[in-house]
Amino acid sequence: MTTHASPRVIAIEEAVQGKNQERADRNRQMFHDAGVLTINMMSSPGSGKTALLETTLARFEGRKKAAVIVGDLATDNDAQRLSGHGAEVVQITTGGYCHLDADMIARALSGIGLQGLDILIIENVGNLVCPATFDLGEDLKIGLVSTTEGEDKPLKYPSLFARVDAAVINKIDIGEIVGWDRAAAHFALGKAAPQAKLFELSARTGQGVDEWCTWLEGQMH
Amino acid sequence: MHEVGLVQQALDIAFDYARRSGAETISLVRLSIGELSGVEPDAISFSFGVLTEGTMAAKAQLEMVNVPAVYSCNACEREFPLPDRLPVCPNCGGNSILEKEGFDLRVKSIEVT
Repeated sequence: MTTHASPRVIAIEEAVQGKNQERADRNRQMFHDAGVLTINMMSSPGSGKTALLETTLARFEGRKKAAVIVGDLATDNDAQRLSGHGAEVVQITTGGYCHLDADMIARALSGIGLQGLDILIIENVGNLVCPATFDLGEDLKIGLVSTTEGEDKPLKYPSLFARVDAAVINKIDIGEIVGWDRAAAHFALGKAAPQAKLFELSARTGQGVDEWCTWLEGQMH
Repeated sequence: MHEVGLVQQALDIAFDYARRSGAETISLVRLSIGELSGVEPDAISFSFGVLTEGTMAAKAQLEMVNVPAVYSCNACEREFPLPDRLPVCPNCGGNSILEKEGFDLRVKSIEVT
């Protein structure tokens, strides 16, 4: 018969994201085994992640085998935009979820043949907060900002930019029109992401895109 | 808001430990909340109330322990907080900064009967 037993304390000390980390480590191993470079692209909504991917895939078409996993809260608009360049495209619609996690990537991988692939590009949900802390198993994290967002975004969202391997400034073609201050933008990125390789480009006009693609190719295995 | 998913994972960990110890109910769940874990205590608390309903932790109290963020420098090995969160060592100016603690949400302990 149960009486009023005094409670027992069980020490646990386990990280809640530990499961995500385990899954991410497994993804990373799969990518390495298949010899595929995996990048995780993160930015605010509207910075031009999808536009940059369109032009990147077009440049790789016929030379590098690419696949894309794209995450959004709703619609498969991005997957439709990205199709037609010979790359497999898998759309993850997250419902209300504000970021992709390693398990969603693992599930999406069942729709992608990793063998023979040169690069897997993950377009994260447009958000500069939550995606920063969820490892997906990628080799490189890329942070994208655009000239229309204001120069100090990296200082406002430092946890994301402190983790990126490369930072891309997009919409460079309209920088002048929107009063973008190059020195201020570089100052902010230099402070928030001193470790990052910097790119200035315009996904729309193609300016600077070759340098970005050349760098990516240099990272492939 | 991603707290619901995180609290569910925290509870899964708690249930697992409780069952393995032969406990019938969980009376307290103690979470440590890193200052830069990216979670809001109010949202954690709300999610906890909803997700424990009808479970062995239905009557459990939630205790949250705040853990301040601490970084360390790869070069000079000092430890420090970084209020502006920019990756520069305040001691030697180095850019190779490690996240030491205060960056995750952890299940610290539980009390069971």
